[in-house]
Amino acid sequence: MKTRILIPTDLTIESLNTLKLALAQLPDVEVVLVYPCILSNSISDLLFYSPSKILQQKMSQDFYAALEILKNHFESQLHSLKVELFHGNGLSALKNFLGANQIDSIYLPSRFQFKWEENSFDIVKLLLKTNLPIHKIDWQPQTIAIGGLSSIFSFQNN
Amino acid sequence: MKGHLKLGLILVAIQASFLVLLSFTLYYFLYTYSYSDFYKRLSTRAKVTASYKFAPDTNSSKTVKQMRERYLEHLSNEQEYIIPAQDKKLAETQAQKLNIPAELVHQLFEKGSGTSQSGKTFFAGINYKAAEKNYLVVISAENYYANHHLQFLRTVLIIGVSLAVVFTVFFTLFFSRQIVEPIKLITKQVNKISTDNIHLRLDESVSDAEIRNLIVTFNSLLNRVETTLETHKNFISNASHEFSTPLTAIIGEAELALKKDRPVTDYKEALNTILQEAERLNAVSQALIQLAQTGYKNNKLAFEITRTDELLWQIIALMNTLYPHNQIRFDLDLMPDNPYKLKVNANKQLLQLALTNVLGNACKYSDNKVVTISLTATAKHVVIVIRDTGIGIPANELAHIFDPFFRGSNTKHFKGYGIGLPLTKNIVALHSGKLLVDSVQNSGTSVQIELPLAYL
Repeated sequence: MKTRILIPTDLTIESLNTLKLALAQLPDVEVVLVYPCILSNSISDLLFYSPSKILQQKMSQDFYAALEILKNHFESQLHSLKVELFHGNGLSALKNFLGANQIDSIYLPSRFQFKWEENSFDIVKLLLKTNLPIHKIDWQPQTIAIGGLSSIFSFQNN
Repeated sequence: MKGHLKLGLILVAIQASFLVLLSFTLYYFLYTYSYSDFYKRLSTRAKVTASYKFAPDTNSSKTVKQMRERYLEHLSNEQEYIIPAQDKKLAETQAQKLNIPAELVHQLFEKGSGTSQSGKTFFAGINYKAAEKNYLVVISAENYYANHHLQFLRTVLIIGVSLAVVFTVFFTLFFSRQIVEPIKLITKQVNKISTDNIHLRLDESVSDAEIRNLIVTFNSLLNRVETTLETHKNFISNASHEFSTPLTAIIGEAELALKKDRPVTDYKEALNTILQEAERLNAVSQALIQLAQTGYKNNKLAFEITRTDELLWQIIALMNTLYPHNQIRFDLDLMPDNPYKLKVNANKQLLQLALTNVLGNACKYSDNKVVTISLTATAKHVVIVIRDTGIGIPANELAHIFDPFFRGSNTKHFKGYGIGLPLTKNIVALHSGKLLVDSVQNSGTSVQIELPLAYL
């Protein structure tokens, strides 16, 4: 049966480890990655509002590449993968968002701490208040800040 | 002759001949026009003169005369002659006295009108019939316009053309030199490059498309030459390093065995050690020779569709001969589902050399701790990430790691020549790939190699 899961991301490659491990558990899945983002107050910004442009600005080349890597690796089980912006600030807005995206369950990392940038906020607290099933996935956050794509590989520190 | 001078002279010749041709035509047509126009004016005056001289009515003749004086401009040195024309011979002698050319008189008798020139004076006349008698009415004047204006035009044209030619010489020489300038610059830069500093490249920031093409071609040629050269250097440095250890062991063992008489078992043991070392030497030399092949076939780099996972397994086998104590882990965790996404268009020998270099560095600078090779693919690239937990590279030296013969400040305890990484970078560039190195000192290095997927 196809399931549709939601995973919060701070658009760092490391945060995709949750997605990687979640995909390893699920045979048939559609994924929505959500990036919480405070909407600008400026009228001109709102006039030219385009979610894809905002994402294009925020997502690095390496993040795209990492998404492609995961798509390639889970080609047969991953039916769709999209990144969505969430602008709301209350529980009802989030519930509305989850309903609109037909989310079945939420996957969260248990040890990894998100690095929320300016203009974004901690969506995890809100997600914990919803009544959807929540799965925690445990993985070791990397201790050495070596950049590039390497942070997505299961590089065990022996 | 210098190229730009030749080009300049050709341009000057073309432009100068155009200018001279233009001014000649201008002068010629104005010259002929001014003559025909002047003759017309003279014959008009002759007609008017005749009509008032021989008018039967004195009143109307006066009016015509007044009109002529008022409205027809007085020409310079204008004179009118009236010669009775009953007898041609008489008229001719009379005309001779008045300095009228005989040719004109002849024309007047033949055609009734005519024009002629003698020196600066122009003549026009008609044969006029009045009161049953024929008269030759001739007007002569000097062509002020032809004498002065045309002369002025001539000087203006001569000065103008010569000035223009001088300017064209100056400008064409200037511009032709400008055109040749980048080529001169390239020659200068290429002259600076020798085998010692073959890593230098020509500056590609030139606006001319053709010149940039030339520079890019030059640079890619240099890339290939440098790769070949460095492959050989790499072989030599590897060989001297890898051969010396087993050779020292063999020599030491043999010397020790020969020092004094020993029981047979000791000799056997010594010979066994020597054999082991010699076998290892053999294996190492074969591995090195395999790496020393530059990948050229018939003077061409042979590219073929290669599966990267297969290549990596081969490399790991090679590493096991070269560094028997290595702990290389091949991480297949994120391999793409689709095997087509592992195929790249590559020169096997060169790519093998590049990856062996990186892996060798990873093993060497981490004292044979665990080295992980991860293989994966994005939409357009195969990505190989090699991570170690070695000494790393100091952050301020990361920018220099691709300079030939550069060695990190923390590598004093490791043998090396600073040849491997620049060579690897060149090889990756030959495959139009990307090589990214990130490192944290004392905790490890990650080398990320991206190679474009082969179009299948």
